[in-house]
Amino acid sequence: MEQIFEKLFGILSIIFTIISIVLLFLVIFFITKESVLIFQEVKFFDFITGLTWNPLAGEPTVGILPMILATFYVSMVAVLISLPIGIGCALELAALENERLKGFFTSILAVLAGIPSVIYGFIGLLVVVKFLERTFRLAAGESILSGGIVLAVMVLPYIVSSVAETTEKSYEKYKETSLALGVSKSYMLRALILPNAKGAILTSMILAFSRAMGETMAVMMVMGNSPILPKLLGKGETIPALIALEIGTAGLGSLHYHALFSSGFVLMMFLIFLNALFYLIKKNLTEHLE
Amino acid sequence: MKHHLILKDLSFAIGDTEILKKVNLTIPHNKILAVIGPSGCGKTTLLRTLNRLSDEEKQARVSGEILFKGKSIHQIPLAKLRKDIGLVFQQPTPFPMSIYNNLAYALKYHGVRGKGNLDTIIEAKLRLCGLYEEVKDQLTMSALKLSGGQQQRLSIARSLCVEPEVLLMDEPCSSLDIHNTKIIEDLIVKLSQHYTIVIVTHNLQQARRIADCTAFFLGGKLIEMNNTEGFFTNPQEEETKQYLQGLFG
Repeated sequence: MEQIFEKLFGILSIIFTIISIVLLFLVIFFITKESVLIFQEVKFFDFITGLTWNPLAGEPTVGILPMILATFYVSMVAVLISLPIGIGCALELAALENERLKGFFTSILAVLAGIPSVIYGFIGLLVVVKFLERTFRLAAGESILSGGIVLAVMVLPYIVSSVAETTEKSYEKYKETSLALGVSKSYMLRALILPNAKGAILTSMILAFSRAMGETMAVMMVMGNSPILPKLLGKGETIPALIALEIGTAGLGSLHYHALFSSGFVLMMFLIFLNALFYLIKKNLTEHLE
Repeated sequence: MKHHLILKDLSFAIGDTEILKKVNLTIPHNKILAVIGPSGCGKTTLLRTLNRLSDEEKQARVSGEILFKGKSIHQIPLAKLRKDIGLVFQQPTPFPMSIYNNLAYALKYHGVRGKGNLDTIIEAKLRLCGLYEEVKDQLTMSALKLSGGQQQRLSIARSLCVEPEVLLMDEPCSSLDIHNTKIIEDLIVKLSQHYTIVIVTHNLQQARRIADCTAFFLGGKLIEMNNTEGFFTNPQEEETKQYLQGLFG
């Protein structure tokens, strides 16, 4: 009986593993299949460098450069805002000796990561957008900057946890050796722990960047969604927002429909590339550490 | 004999566990004192109370007094105390940075500025520890790539960089082979011309080979201390005799 159970368990876990791998390939396959059709009518190069998005005009044009740029722009703003805060948090967490306080902060970060993105969008609309309108006297505060600020809060937990993983370990390992040399804890954080976390910081940046690129709802709510070339204080539309907003109204099989799939395909390619980069750097780092 | 550190009724406990019990000990100037005793007798804790690293433990309680050059160590600023009383750990712990930066790390904190000054001190300490010829062309190499014995000599050089007067060593050879142990032992003897050295060791032969004085601890108490020759040839206390005969360990 025990043996049969063992076997069954083994077979089941193999099946489930295969299912998840197959699922990934199915997603890639399906998106690619729906995307390539459009390239019979529009050149791929024109598609990703075209400046106008007007798939419903008499003579439809589908160029997604503004959306690609907006996606990168808003993600970059988010990472730039989030990174210093995240690194500071990770250093502080590493040096925190009070276990209860440490647990408290860690759980706060977990809660932050667990808040639904629509709520972030909502708060962004109420707070960030309003704030930008007042500060910069804008007609509308929906902008790349507001998207970046909202996203910064959303990716913060990822940055903190992936940097803290390294800083906590090295703080534990080198604390006594460093203290025995008479140096202060803050010097240790600055001169030893921070430089040693360079790799982790880089990987956390990539991780946060790819999270930010794929985020849809919150960004959509605070960015104004105009398919124009993005400016920091102007409106912009990311690829996920474009797809989410238009896929419902695009006629099945139409150029519009396939163009949306293609933009999804482009986004997916960027993300796969970033993930590969993330994986490579991480692997390199672990080998380096050993 | 000049005394460098004097312990008066030193007790140390973590929570309810007493680790050191009323230890009275004088540590002679520029000599090697070996501290021996079975595991858990408080040897390592003794070292850690001397540079107050033990204060970092939660629920640590210290009573009694430690005088460093006649002054209570609690009246000396922590950074100064730990600069003056260095500690080399059992496991070599090079920082994950270049050999050069390992040595410059504490120097910069303690206010040594200018590449010329740093270079001079670093070269001198590497030479002192017999490491300079081996690594002079690789100072920018990661210290993690050094062999175990080299790492431990680097750790010693790093402690020496900030010019301590006392060097505490916690079983510095326990993770090294015979060859590297010999190198470190010779180094320790050489260093004792300029530094007061307290070395905790499990290895009775090592104590006998290098130490000027030897102290025996058991259950957190100092049982006996004497010059090494007298200690090994003519132990006074019954416990010491039994320990030296290997009746317990």
